[in-house]
Amino acid sequence: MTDLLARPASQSNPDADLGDSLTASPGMATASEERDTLITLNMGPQHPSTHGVFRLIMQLQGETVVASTPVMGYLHRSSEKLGEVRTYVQGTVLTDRMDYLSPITTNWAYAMAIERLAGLEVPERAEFLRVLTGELSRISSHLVAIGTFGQDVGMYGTPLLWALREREMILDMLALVAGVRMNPSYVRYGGVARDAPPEFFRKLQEFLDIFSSKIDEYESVLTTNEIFRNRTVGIGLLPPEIAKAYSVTGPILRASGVPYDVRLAEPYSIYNRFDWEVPVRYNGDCFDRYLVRIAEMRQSARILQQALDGIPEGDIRAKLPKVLKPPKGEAYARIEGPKGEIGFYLVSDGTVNPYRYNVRPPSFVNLTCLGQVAIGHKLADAVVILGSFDIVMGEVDR
Amino acid sequence: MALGLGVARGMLSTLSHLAKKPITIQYPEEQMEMPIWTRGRPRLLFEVDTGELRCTACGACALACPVDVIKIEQHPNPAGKGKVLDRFDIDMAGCIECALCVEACPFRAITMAPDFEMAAYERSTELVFDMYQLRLAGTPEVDAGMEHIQGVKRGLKSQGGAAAPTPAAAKPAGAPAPAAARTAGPVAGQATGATAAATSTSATGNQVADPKAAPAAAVASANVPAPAHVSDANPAGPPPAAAAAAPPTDFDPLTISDEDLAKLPAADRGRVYKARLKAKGVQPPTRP
Ligand code: SF4
Ligand code: SF4
Repeated sequence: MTDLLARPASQSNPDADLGDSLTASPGMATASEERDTLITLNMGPQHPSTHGVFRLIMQLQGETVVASTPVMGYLHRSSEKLGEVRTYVQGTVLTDRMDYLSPITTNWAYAMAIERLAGLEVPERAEFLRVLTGELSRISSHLVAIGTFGQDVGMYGTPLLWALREREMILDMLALVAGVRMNPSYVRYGGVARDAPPEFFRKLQEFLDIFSSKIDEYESVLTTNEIFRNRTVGIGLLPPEIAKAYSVTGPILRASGVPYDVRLAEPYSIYNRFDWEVPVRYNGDCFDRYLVRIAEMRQSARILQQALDGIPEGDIRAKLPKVLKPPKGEAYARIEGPKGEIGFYLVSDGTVNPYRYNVRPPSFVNLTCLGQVAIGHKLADAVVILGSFDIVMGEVDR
Repeated sequence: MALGLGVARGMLSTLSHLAKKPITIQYPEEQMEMPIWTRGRPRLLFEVDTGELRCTACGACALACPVDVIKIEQHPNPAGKGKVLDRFDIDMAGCIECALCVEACPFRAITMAPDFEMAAYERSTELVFDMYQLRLAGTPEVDAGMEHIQGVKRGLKSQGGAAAPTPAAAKPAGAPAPAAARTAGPVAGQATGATAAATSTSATGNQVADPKAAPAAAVASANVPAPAHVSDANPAGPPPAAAAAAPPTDFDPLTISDEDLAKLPAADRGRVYKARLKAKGVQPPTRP
């Protein structure tokens, strides 16, 4: 943002670091010519390929991006401030509206922070229900990511609609447990809000039975498709050092060869009881990010099957006081969301509201390195790179 | 690169879908199947036999609402205890259908119905629904949906509790029993303290069907035992939705059988004993 202010869009004279990237870009004309032909292009805030209200200011030399600045904040709803003036349970509904494609994982991080703050214990069955719904959300988020990524690459319709078809099944299942398809507010401190009806488990088994063949179907139109590979292999390289320097997490980091997954690095809930792997790829390009997501969906299905087989009977919510007033203190909880590490930092002053309600949204952090990654690529590839980052603006801007 | 094998394979995959049935639902001609506990517009329940709203104007829902769209006005009942509800408005332009009001209501008086078609030309008038427009009959089926939406509050209604209530579960801060005693206060007009304490018992006590069973029954094929329920704790039993082996989660303290009583967690048992004493006219000992 400050970067943007320091360099008005109208200014045609690139500053020093812009000059560096110019000389680094291959196939360029002489420096003076470049300066004359440099154009500034605003993509967004309302552009179909920006996945929400997001603006990307790019400086182009011909069709090549030589500098890009992400501009965020168009969807800012001051969720963090609102969270401070609402009770702990009311704060849950705000978390739904951050990553609206996978609200349950954000609910979960928030609930975990409160549980650490108040020292609550979560019953066994509730942990299983959290894993079941959380992994379903991860799958549904990755489905949208892959479908819209296909759209960005230029495969209109087919992958997106196929992905939405399976996402529909997931949303129907979530409607059974939570009562709604979006914004479920399902994971609450001390457990989950509602028990799952038997129908849910039956539908889940049905879903798991067919899901792996459905993933094969997506792969048949995407992974093996030469056009798709041409558009994504080697595009948007993100070396592991840069990814770490920008605190990138989630599938993007794992596609760059860093096997970091909060479920493994700092096991929470009951993930250490299941047999699963963290998929890693090493090229760090758009194609690998896509492959990591595909592999993660398969792993999620694996976890789901084990959780479904092992779910015990029992309580789904800890004994709680009528009004929760956690003792003074602070707590940070993090979980692995579909887009990366979701962190919640809560400070309690002993009243019914949190004193501080702070979120570490993975999309926001991941997005910061977009400017770096897009440099040197063609304009059309910048769209593909943005698609491979899988951002949700509700979470970026909060 | 020329269009190669991969593209051809993708085309085959696409073509294979030509033979498949579309899964699109032709809304509005066709409607989606929605469970009875779908969170749509909040509705106020009334008793089927008396036609009276269950709402006691306690205001808990208005307090719980994160967006403050519930407006309640009441005056004290001149003919006795309690309050009379004058106005109960929900502004659906602002309601986010989060169900926190349903969860907060101690009198089973508010629920959410699967109605979502509320397009209107005028936001400030057409979308504000008053207590007459929000009325909904509290039939057992609707009550069951309400039970599911209410979910488990504060761990009071331990659902699948076939597993014996562990003392550890009661450990975290705050005791639920005093909370129940507090809610007993404003109820006095209509219900016994014990009824209010077991929040799942109808205020007028006419609700005897096991509402926990019904949400499952409302789904088409609830009798398919889910894998989760084939546990040792419940070996020969019917699907636990029928809740024969599990302790009743919704009980009338005066009519509960001794068998069921033995399965209740200690706190609930205490409440039953107190209610029985009270019915006999014996004052339960008050807390020091
Ligand atoms: S559903 Fe939520 S927003 Fe709507 S009236 Fe109830 S508490 Fe308020
Ligand atoms: S919480 Fe229930 S009883 Fe109290 S005012 Fe709201 S609807 Fe009425």
